[in-house]
Amino acid sequence: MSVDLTKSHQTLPAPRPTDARLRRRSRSAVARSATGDRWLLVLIGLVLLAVGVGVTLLYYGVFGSSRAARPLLDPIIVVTVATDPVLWRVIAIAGGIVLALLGLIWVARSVRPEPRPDIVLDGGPNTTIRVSSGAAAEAVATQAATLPNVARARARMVGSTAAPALRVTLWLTDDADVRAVLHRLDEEVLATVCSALDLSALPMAVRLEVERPHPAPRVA
Amino acid sequence: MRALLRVLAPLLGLALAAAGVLVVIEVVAAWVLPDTEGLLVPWRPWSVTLANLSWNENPVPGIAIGVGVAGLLLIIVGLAARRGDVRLEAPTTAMTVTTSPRVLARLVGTRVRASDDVLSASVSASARRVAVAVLAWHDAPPDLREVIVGGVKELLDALPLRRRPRVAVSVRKQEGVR
Amino acid sequence: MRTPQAEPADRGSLDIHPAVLRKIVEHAADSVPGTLRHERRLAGIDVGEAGASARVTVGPGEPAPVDVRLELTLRYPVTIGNVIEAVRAAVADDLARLAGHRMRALAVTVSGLRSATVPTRARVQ
Repeated sequence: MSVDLTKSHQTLPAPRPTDARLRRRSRSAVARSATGDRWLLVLIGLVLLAVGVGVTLLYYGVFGSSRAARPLLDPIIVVTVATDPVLWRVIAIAGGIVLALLGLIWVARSVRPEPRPDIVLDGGPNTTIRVSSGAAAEAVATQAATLPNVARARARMVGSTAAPALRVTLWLTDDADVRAVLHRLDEEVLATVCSALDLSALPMAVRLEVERPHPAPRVA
Repeated sequence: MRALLRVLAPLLGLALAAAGVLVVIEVVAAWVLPDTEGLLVPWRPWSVTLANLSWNENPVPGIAIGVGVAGLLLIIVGLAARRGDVRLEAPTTAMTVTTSPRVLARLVGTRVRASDDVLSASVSASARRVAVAVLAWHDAPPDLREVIVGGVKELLDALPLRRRPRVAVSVRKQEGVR
Repeated sequence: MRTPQAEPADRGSLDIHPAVLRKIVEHAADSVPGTLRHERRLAGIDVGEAGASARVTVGPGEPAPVDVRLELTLRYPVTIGNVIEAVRAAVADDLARLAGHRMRALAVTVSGLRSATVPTRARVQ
């Protein structure tokens, strides 16, 4: 009996992530998430709308005509600030710094391109293995393009190094049986990449497109 | 809409950051060098104007309405910038399959236009509804609409769609000779 | 009076240049089945083929341990973990045998996964 000594140092394979987690990861791999930007826009919009509505109501005297007659720079504010100018200056500076930092962080996150994570494998003690995101994606795309009824395929790694996922775009021919293509994508392409990378599962988001039929070449 | 979001979000972030930086600069400048005009922002004449303007005078309502409208527009962009993906059934939980309404419209359009009785067709599709407006030759059979509806439903059934969209077909006849 | 000579094992020392170590490592990696040669491109122009590319750092100590960084192209599909294990064994073996160095850490980056059936270059006959 021969023993495979090469595997003796390898740790137990990581447990397969739950189905729910896989589904969630594949769902978020469909496209770059814009949720943060959207909610911040809505929040700022609500604040502006509230201010606009509030001031308009004030103008029309809904809050009382004496309140409406007060100046914008209310003397109450001036007096409050004058009693302890240092405190208010510090508050203003701190508030300004916080606002500037938040704004810059938001810009950085908005503008940063979507990461293409590499896949890190466990190679044992003193050995690190990193499969570049381009290599893995190209291998998947090349194999996907060989499937019948698939005219073109494109793939990229998305997510993070800890939780990578694949985003694949398939251009199908007009007469494609979509169910069959997806089935073969799962059984062949996804299975192959998982076994190559020794992953129990790799979430995948598939986008389907239809290939434009090329007009038949004219023969002179 | 999402393209607009991509542009607005960083711009708003920059505006907020600029506002924060301006506040810090002006307050520090006013503290260190008192009795001087504002460094970048003429806040002394501004504060005089604000002290002499009350809430019930123009141009306050105009500005307030402008601000409110801007806020409303931001809310609309934020809420409307959703992906209109059409979801399909996947063979495994590790996979999510989507396509765009444009692709669905293409497939339906190709199928509808394949009929000889159809002169032209325009399709608008979403995950919930597919609407086809057909212009038919005047000698088209009277049951053309039912035939087209049947064909589109057959096409949609062949796709593993998560939810089958409602199909609405309208047929108009073209006068004149083919 | 002549000073006594040192033992043969302590006479002189052999320092192997890192470039030689690099060649040893690359040759060992290329000999493992599963690694491929891939075409090298310079500004989009084909400038020939290359196999594994290595960077070797010699640490302090006696015998000097060697840290190896390797960049490889592998065949696809293949179980990457197994191939890297074979590469590690081959490189460590050759380094010890040919250069007397012990390999300490190995960092591999797989920068290409090519299907053997797809030709890397289309040639027009």
